Amino acid sequence: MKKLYIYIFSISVFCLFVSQANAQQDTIYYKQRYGLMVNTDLIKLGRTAFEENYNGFEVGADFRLTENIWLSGELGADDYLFDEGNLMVNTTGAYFKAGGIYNFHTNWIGMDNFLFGGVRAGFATFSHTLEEFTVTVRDGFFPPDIRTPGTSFNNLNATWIEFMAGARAEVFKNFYLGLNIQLKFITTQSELNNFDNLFVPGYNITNDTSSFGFGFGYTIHYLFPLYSKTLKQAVDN
Amino acid sequence: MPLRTSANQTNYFLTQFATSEAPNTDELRLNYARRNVYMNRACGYKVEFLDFQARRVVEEAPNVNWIRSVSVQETVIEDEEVVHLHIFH
Repeated sequence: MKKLYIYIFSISVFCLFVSQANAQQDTIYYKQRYGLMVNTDLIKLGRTAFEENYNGFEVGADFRLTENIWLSGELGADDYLFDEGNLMVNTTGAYFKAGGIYNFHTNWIGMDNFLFGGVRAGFATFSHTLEEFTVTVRDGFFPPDIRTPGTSFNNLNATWIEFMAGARAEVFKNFYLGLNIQLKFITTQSELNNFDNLFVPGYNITNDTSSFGFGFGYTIHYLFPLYSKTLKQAVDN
Repeated sequence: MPLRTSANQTNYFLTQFATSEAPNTDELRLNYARRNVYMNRACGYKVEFLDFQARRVVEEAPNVNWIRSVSVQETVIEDEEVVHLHIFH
């Protein structure tokens, strides 16, 4: 009988140790990288290389504030020749965007991918040169009246609000590829005398009948990890 | 009758009985100032005409003007919806 008690006691002690060991394994610790992510837009670089009417670039940065929120900003320049229908207009200028993104994606531990929504306030300063226009006429009785006025419209600016959605995936350690689409609407813009802003740097092509615009980017990012936060997570058995 | 957008004057030679053996050609001189007006990105600029004046060149005998007179109705030409010139013959 006594032997049996000792036997039961030792089994229960063993079970206790085992369960304690299990309890320790129920929490795992992991590190989350915080830092500055810098990026450039590959579409703008590609258009600069392959599109005759466009030169430009954009660099951006994201700084991680919390697990899901990053502060973001972009700086860029566009040089675009609008050459459609009866108008040929060259627009050059620079822009700045500031805002943030919210990462909706629930990452597996150790991963840092993005499925995000973001908002930006944009500001651009630019100028247009009306290189050429063909006078619009109802009929073709006379030969086309082509003018090359070279009129400059300088010191122009515009502001807009931008909503964006996109995704980023870490393809190598600290290297990310990202896609995003942007819906924008102009809040203020310089009024022109007998002309209109057809293109605004950073905003892209404007619209005559509405203040909405559209853009997209294909970005490559590098994360400079500055520090990491150690987090723990309970694991259900 | 279209006006030239590239100059401040358009001259028309209008011929009566053009296919007959005795055609009669009168010269009409149309003078105006021009103004470029931006419409939109698809159409670009149009030209409006200001201070529109019309005059027939009076011919000396034995030629006869078949146009008896011209009368400007509108001196500003912004569209094709209204009558700008009456030609009497």
